[in-house]
Amino acid sequence: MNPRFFVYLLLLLFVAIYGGINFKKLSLSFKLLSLLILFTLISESMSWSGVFPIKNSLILYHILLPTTMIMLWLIFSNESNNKRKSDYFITILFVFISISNSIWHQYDIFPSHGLALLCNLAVWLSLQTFKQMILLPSNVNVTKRPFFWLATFTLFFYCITFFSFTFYNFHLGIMWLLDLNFYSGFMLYLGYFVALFFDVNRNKYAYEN
Amino acid sequence: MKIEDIDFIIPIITGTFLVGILLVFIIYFVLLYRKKQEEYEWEKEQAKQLLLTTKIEIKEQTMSNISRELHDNIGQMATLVKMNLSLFNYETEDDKRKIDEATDITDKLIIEIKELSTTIKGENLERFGLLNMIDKDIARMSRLDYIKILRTGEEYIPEMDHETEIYLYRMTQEIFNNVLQHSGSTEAILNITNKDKVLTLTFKDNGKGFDSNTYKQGSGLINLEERCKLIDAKFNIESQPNQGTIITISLKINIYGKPN
Repeated sequence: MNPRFFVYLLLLLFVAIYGGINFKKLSLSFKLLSLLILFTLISESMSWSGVFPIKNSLILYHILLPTTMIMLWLIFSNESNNKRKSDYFITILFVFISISNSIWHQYDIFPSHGLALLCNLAVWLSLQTFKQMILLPSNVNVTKRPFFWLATFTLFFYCITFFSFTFYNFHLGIMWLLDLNFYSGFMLYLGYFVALFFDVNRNKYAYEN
Repeated sequence: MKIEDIDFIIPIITGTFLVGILLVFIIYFVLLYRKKQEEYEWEKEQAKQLLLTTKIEIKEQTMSNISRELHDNIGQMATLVKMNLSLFNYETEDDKRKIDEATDITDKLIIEIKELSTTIKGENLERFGLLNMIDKDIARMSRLDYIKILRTGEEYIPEMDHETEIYLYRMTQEIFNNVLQHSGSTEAILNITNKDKVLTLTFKDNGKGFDSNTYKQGSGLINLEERCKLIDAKFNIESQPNQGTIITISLKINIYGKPN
């Protein structure tokens, strides 16, 4: 196994364990985030071990993308009590298109269209979260608010993913874009760990500035 | 420049631009959030002060009503009892002694009712002035024989607006009540000074004191601090276990006695 992929799996495992240990202390959004991390860990581990009879891990991404879309929507929609209908419709539409794409269009190749939709949805949800935080500020310092870290790293990761897959060209050998995407994924899970940490300790930071 | 070179350069430029935009966005968000947070804190503080002011107004109104009841109703009833006692036909010396005793107690009761009625009614501040009202309270408390309070300092202070006087007066009453209920003091001094346009009330007792770092965990002292904020007065408390307590309230006033 590639050593850096091994480190990546270790990081995922560490964050998943941290989420699992503190599961009861987490708010609903971050319980869902922990489940998403666990789900990602399992699928990444399976993609590495190649347990599928078809001898590749493409099917995982066809399942992972719509699942991630729904999970991200659930995670972000719990940020405030004001659930936006627009988020609901966009998520349902994107999930529907992504599943249709996996069944009828890109069924035997990497679901890049679904990934593009996921990137757009994640960016949209992150931006909505930032807006919500501006509209409903609290006495908690912004850097101690778990949703700040969640939205920031989600925004960075999915923007970079979209960018990487837009410019990636195997024939020209622009492999650094995939490296960039890999390291941004690494950063994403570090960011998720920070978000989980602040959510676990949210009562401690509630009255600190 | 070859086409392949452009294919390499464009992602680098675009990527740098993208990351730059994201970083600027996050920095802008943090700054905007802090600004909104300050506005939120300010609004919260305003709402808190408004609530406190309303509570104090309601309390003043209630005290005024109680004062009126005491004076007009209970005071009148006590006077009636005294009149009835004077009309009582006694037959023995023992009866006379008992009736005289009852009359004396009723006299004291009438005086207490009048004094209490006067001190709890905020409007009386305009009539008697802040220092006189404080002196009345001190006299009333001294009669209880639990504590001896001495007032020193100014014999005259400039007249202030009614609201500020009420706040200061209620704060001294709160201090007196706290001392009586919690401190176990036998002696206390209230010093009032007016120097360099700053009115300062310093209250010192010889009670059991407390750790002044932990007093915020629920006591009338929080009320004092909140009331001070409402009139822009400074509040300070110094205390150590078994070393008494010093409370200082200072308020800037202009030459007309109005708070700045």
